[in-house]
Amino acid sequence: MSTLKKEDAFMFKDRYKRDNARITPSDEVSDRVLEAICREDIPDITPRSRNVWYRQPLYRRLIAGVACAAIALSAGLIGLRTRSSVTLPVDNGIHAGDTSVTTVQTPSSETEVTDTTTETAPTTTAPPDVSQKDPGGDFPAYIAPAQKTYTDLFTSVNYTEIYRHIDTWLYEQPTATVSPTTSTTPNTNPTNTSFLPTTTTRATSNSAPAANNFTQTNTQYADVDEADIVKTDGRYLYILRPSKGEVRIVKADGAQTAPTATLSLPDSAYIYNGSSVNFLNMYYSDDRLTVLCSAIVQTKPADLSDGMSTIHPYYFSQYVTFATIYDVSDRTAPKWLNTFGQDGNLVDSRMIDGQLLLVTDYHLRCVREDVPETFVPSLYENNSSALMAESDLCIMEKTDHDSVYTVLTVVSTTGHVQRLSQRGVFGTGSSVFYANGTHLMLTAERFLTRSAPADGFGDSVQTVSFNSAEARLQLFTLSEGKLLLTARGVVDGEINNQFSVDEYNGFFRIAAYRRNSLFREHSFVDCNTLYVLDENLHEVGRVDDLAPNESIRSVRFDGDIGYVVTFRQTDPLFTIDLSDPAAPRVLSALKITGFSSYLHPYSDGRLFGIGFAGDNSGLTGDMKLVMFNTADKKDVTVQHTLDLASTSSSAIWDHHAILVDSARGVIGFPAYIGNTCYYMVYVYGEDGGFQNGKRLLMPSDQNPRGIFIGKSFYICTASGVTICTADGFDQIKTIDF
Amino acid sequence: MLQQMALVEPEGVASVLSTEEVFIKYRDMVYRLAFARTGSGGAADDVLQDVFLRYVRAKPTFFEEEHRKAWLIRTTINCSRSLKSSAWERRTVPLKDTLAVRMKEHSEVYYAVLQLPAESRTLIHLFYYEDYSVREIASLLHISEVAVKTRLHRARKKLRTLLEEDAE
Repeated sequence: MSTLKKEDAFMFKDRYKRDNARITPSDEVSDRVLEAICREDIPDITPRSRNVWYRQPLYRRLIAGVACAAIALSAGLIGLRTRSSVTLPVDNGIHAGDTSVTTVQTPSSETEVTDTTTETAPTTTAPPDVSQKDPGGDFPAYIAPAQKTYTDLFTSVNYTEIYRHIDTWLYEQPTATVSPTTSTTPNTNPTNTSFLPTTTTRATSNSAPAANNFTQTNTQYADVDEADIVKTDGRYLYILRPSKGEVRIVKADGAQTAPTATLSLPDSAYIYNGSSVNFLNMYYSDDRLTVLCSAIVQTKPADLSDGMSTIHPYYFSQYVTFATIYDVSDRTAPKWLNTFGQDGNLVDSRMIDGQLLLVTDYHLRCVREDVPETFVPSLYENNSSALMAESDLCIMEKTDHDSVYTVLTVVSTTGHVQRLSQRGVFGTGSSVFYANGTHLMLTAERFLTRSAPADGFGDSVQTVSFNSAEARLQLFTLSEGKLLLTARGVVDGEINNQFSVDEYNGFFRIAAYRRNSLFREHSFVDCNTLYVLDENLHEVGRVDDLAPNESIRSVRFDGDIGYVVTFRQTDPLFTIDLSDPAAPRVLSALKITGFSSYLHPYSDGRLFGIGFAGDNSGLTGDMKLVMFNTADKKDVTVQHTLDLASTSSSAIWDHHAILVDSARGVIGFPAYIGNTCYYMVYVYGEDGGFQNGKRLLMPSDQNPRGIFIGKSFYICTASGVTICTADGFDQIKTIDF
Repeated sequence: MLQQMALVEPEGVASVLSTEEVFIKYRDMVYRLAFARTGSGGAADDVLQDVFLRYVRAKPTFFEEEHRKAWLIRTTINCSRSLKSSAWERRTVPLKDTLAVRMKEHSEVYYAVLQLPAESRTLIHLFYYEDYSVREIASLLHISEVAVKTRLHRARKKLRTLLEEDAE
């Protein structure tokens, strides 16, 4: 009779471990705790929502209360001591000593017990069936985790609820005990059946232009048009002249090229209150020209003394964004068709099959309860304006952008011109707008503060705070002109631009720059993460730790492959395999100097990049072109590179300015050398790399666009068109407006 | 000018995990230790919540993953101890605990472990399941190595009796 022998001990260890494997918290418990700690984890939580949390341990109190009541009943005792976990002391480290940390026990009479139960009842958002479904443990009921999966999210609200929301936010008055969004019944939107995996036949980039003999605006997706200042239909050029407020229509016919008409915008456009108008850009689709402009409206607050909640108590200017649609089937005499407007400044726009998607941010300035116009965005059509209907509005959860609406509208520009749908989402700004044929994603940055112990204070707890950000995502689905809000999500980090988001085979990939997110060596460092999300915006997989302390400069997705360029002193180009959504992995990391600010899949096995050149100590300030050889994804190399004498170009920040025509092997973009503006054209060949560089002098302060039509190359600016031969780029003709 | 960059594995130290990641990583560990100590699924649920609530409130920062683990073990022990000493726990008896019943009925050795006193169970768990050495357990529990050895010895002796009884 002794203790376990050694061989027995081994067996015991095995068996004990096997037994232990069966002990896992149930999913219900896990979800609940996760929910609780995530809510607690938000560092800059506002007082009101903190209150909501502090009632959260009601789970414990409720159980304790119910149990106490039961015990009191059975034992005839009144006034048992019940535990309260609100004031749990915090065990701050393993040095805390062996003294067990006991929970503070607050005396609570029976009346208080009943109090807590009744008080907590209305805040319980759990559906009843979940709370009754107890697996048979000794705990009577869990508060079910708050709704985590969003099926249909667009819950309409009425104006009063919106006002109450704004009002409570302004004064932090806990008047509304129930969040307005939860009190209303969800819209009975038909569940979207369009979430079937998008067809992979859709061109994922415009790298291979169709058999067209002309080039179009450089866009993220071939079938999703993006607005620009110059558009073409293959026969005519449409050139927006913002400063003159007109569109020139030019017949593109080589040496016979000639203007056909001038479309004067303010004459026919509906201009709100005659205030100043900014013409932004335009679309061409099927004989219809759509010009976007924003008007600034000066408004004086009605009466400050009259119970007005003032966010900015001064004169203020509001933006209204208009889309004016013209019929240009007769190129000599364009006809005005209609003008649609919406409150807010333009975030971005897209055009899909003649349907215009318009996204604006509407900031509230002065709010008065009895005047819905002050806190509800308006829509305009021709000469009339109307508030957005209550059924088209919803409130997002609390974000930093509490006084902002995002207004989305879909306008059909083909056939009968009309507005197809509209949505106003309160409580979120938007920074990046991504759209493919079916899905639209809006991202809004929300800034956070992280804290960590500061170095150099010994053991005393001194914390330092760092700013960081997360991106709130809203996913809309466009189905037959209607917008459905189908998912919401959040990822840590900031999203660079529309190219950082992509959808492929039903999965969304997002590359985010996470400022101050990694705690390393006593301070925070930046890092970059690529997320793979499913259609509900739940994370499926991720690649962490791409280049700590660097920031994302450009991203491009090409089917299963993602390319990410980060930069601090040198430029790693990461090639990431995304074929398994759950396990994305880095295939290669190519380190060169400088960085690319725009990446373009040039052809199979070639990736074009434009950006800044540098040496090992940093940037030299010059621009460069680079062609990567991506034939072997595990060994991406630089095929050709070319440094330019240019120091600035709109191509760096606006991909519409870049022309990449892999069929003709031509790359064109505007660039400044000194104070002189040139349009640069390079012919790319496999043998010689970037060759035959041609600089074409442009009038300064212009933003030229290069377009191939047939055998000619047209460089369009607001002040004229330069026509060159398509092979040698010799000037044939110049038209000055 | 061009050079291939070697891919470096993320450093082992101070990899900052979000609270969610910490939870996913350690929930089983915490839960199993809590269950070993309390012998009740419901109580283990409670301890699990307590431990991670303390974790997010304290926001401790660790330079080694091992410290985080130790912190969580330490806190689990504290939490289950305070739960044990609470009025709620002293005055109520679990009616039905599916997990505990299941472990008693279907386990190979766990039923025997459950019959040990709570402090012995902790030692057995840390020693056999978490694979801590005697020295590490001593520093974790703030007791001397000799005490750990003695208690382990006693626990093993008891276990042997229980397992042999069962075998007969």
